[in-house]
Amino acid sequence: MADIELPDLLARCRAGDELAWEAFVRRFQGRVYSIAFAYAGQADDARELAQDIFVRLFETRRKWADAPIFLPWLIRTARNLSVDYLRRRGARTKATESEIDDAAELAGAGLDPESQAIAGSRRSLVWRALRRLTTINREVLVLREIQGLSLEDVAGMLRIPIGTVKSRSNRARLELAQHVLSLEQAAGPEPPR
Amino acid sequence: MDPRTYRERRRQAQLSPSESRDLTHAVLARTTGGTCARSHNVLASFVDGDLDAGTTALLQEHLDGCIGCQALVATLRQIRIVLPAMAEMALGNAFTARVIAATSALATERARQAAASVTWWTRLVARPSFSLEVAYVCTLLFILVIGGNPAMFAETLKGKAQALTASAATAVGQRVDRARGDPRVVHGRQTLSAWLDMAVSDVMASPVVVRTWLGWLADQSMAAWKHARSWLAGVFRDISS
Repeated sequence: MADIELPDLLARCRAGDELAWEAFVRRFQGRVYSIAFAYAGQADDARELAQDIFVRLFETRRKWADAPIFLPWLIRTARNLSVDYLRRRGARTKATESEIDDAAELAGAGLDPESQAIAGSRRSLVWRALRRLTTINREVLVLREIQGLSLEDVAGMLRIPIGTVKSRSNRARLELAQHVLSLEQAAGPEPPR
Repeated sequence: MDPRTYRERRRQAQLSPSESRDLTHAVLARTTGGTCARSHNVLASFVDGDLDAGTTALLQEHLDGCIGCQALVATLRQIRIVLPAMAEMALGNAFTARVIAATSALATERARQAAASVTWWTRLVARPSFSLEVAYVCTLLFILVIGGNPAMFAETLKGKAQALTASAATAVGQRVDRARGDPRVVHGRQTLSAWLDMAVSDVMASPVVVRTWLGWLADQSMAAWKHARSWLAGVFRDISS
């Protein structure tokens, strides 16, 4: 069955349709949780933060952005609320690598179990490597490379020039690759399948 | 020379791949130093295909002889695929249920608060002393709006009212003059003329009425102001004692 179109979904949510709100949560919970996880760093904190973000979205549903710019707006809102949350908590990142491993939700949907396990383990490794980056480099990667925001959107959100976003993204990806390699080397060769 | 001997000597003169790499590293070590740091600056752009042809060719030659940079490029290519796939993380129905429960509770609480405020307002309005309290608050607000000088406020109001009535009188006078010149107004001309004269004089006299009324208003507001001031002074005296 085809999903409801975004403009219609947003209009119904604004009007207070409870079924539309549930569909909205289902549609965007993966993305909001991913942003919350990138900032909170712990699965439990990320769940709590994602829930707070949805409650805030519910409270302000009459002021949501229109459909064409809704996704960048949602990402910006989730990012700002995550930063506020961390400021309240008093630290930007406190995740440990074992907690990231424990995040069973890292596995993606739509793959067979074996591919899902491989992809999940790969993503888990990249999440751990991400935690080793500086906050600003991690933010650039999360917003630009993971969430796919435009250079202009990221520059506006982080208040840095567009050129800096591009160069920082390249540098951050290189750092990330180096951390992934060192984590792989630390883990040793993969057992034969 | 025997051709076979020549080929054998030539083969021995060529460097093996590992010897070639070692030689390159030895030369670089004595000239520019290692080039990995320089290549790292452009590896991400290389993976994105953003480099010009010349730099791409040079980097490709470096990669052919550098295992470390080859591994980085391979990882960068993997990351390029993995990162966008991390935009969403599966959470399941339990999370959805929790969010729905939290927002439903919020909506219920909002509705309860709205109902409670309506009840509170209804009870407030239904009290017998409500109209008296409203009148008192309105009087107090009126005094506060006028400020410390009700006479000045009344004077300003009076000036505006006089200007208004004067312009109204002029307009009525012009209409009367036009009516008098109208040939259709013939029958009963004397009666009509007298009535119009009386209307004009009434309008012209209206500034006097306004002045009287405004004077009364100024007196009343001044008296209310003095009363409120003495009442407030009493309240402050009570508090300070």
